[in-house]
Amino acid sequence: MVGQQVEVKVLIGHPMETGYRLGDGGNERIPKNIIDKVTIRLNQEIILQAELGTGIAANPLFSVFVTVPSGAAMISVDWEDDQGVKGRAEKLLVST
Amino acid sequence: MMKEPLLKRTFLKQMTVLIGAMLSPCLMAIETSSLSEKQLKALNLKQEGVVLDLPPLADTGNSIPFSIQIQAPRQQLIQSFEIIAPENPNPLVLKVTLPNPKSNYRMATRIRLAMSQNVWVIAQLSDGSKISGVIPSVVTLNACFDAT
Repeated sequence: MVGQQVEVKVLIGHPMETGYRLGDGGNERIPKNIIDKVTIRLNQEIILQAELGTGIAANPLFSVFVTVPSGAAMISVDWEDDQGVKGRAEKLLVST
Repeated sequence: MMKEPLLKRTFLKQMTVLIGAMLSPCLMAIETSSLSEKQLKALNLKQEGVVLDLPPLADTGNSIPFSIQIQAPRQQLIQSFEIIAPENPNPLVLKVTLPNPKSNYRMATRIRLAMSQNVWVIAQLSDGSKISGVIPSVVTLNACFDAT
């Protein structure tokens, strides 16, 4: 399994409000609130460093490919939205 | 009295040179994410090395699966790439930077399209050049502007 390419899927729960939607019976605009930055790491190496716009669908999903390293591997995801809310998740990549 | 027109002419010349020098770097760094479909086409970017997958008819403009595979030409590395939907209110959908540039890269995500359009992926290579790919999608349920 070492050296093999595996798919890593990351799903972040976030409404990704574009700021264009009308709420409240079509009167008020729902304010913009989107995730700005997402960083996916394999141990210390950055696999994906992205700046998101309103064009990324709600509950952003990213699928990236990593080469399985020998030894311990921690996949970590850090995200931050335009209100300053941050999130982080980690998962150990177990290889045989 | 004879010196005055000469000074004015030299001053104007110097200002023109100065303004010209200030403008040219701005023109060189083209902001691809603010360009329209027509302007993107006019850039005549190399359409190679970028393979895109997007459903030709999207079920909904709110969430469209989109996958990208970039293969840099030989001896080149991919430094960054952008997904651009020129008809969206904010055309820059995603900007990905690779701190460790790679010779090939693939990823997938879900995008929103405000209306039927071409979706562009423009990658910046290590030698400063760009490669690109385009793919169309028809959207019947428009995202971004619905009132629901």
